[in-house]
Amino acid sequence: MKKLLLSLFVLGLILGLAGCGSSSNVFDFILDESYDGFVTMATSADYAPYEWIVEGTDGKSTVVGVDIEIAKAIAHALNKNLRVIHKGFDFLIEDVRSGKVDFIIAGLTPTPSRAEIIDFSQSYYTEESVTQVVLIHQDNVNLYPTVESLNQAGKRIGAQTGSIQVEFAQLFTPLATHKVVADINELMNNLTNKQIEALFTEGPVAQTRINAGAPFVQLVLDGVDHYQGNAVGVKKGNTALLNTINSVIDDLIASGKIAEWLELYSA
Amino acid sequence: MTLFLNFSFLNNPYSVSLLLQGLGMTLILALLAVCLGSILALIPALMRLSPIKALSIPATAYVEIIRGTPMLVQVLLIYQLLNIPLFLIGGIDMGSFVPGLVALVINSSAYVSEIIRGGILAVDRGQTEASRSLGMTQRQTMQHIILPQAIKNIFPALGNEFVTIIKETSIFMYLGVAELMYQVGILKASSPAVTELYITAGILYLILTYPLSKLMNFIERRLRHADAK
Repeated sequence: MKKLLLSLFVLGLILGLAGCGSSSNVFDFILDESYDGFVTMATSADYAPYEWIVEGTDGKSTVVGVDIEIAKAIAHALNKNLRVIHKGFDFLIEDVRSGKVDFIIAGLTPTPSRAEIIDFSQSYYTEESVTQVVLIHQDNVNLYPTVESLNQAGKRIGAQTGSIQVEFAQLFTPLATHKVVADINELMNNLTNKQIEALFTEGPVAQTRINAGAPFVQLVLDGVDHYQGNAVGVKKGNTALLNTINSVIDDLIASGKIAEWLELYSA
Repeated sequence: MTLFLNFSFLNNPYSVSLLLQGLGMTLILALLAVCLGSILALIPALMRLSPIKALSIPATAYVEIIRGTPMLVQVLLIYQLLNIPLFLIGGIDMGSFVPGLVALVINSSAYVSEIIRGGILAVDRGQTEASRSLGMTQRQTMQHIILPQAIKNIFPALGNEFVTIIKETSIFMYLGVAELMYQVGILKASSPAVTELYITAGILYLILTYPLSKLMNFIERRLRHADAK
């Protein structure tokens, strides 16, 4: 009896998984039929224009964005196809540390504590290519004309957990209350509903939202001199992969590709 | 907060297919967790009922630890401990599906074991005494007298556990298992209708849980049918 039940469950599992196969957190990109195998990248695809999930041409979900283009370039350099895994930001570093995936591209800022666990490539977005901004609701433009005007007790300022923007929020608005949340889309929603007064984020992220019709206005953040940009994370000691990634990033920056993609995906 | 809700995303076949796929995944996860959890639950339940301390104490500890810690902590801890390499079955990343399912099964087994234990204890002592005095062994008593009556007590509570587990599966979104809230997260990233998405997700969960509790009520009535006379 139990064996029968058990085999039924296993059957159900296989059928169920087959049925759900069209929707998953794994996205394969066959870059070239002649390539053998996949290089895997972990990301948290909720961060337009860098990586987010949209309806593909075949009606299934696919992941797009600047970071995905960079990953494709890295995969080409390795003569492999690209497999992208999407999960919560908090799991990414653990996944690359344990070797489940080969690298992370997820708007990851190199910090000393992260550098103890994984190795970082050189930055692919720097201060020159990516501005830091503060988003406010368009109804409050007159109320908060400058970033300084937000530095008051009782003002609620949002920033994404684990991001460099948390530091900027503490630096520029020390008197305000900081709301640090993992989900950037939740923060955007809070700003729309005026549950927070302002949101520290990156220029392209803000611009993509505004272009999509969000009722926001951006204030540019000046004097952000210790910003290290975003980098690719790889397993500690994987120098061969890191060297390849660094040379790919050099080429992409030199050829202006990254700036081109930023413009394309922000639109 | 606007009062004008806009459910226009329900006209988009892509959004609807994402939500329905998520709903299917939620149901599969809950089914697997409750079924595997129930089988596993027999072990701590019978261990706790045993008069031997060496058996009952570890089982009590197991149940108390699982019941006394949040599901999120359990999932994160098991994900950290179970380092399953990335491999795909039917396009699903088993590296996150398996640790998630294991956590859910363990959690479910602790709750179900208490349900089973309660169900067995609720059977009148006189039943055991009667069957033992008729010369049945302890094993026969359990198998033919106690368990059939206990199932009547266990079944309705098991339905509740199923409903609870359906709701608990929502934490899988962090692991990247494509259940309902994961799909809501995807749609949320590109849609301004966040309130509407949450309402829709809530209704979809209700669509799963409400008929289920009705079905459980029905089965319970059928099982009690014999008692009425």
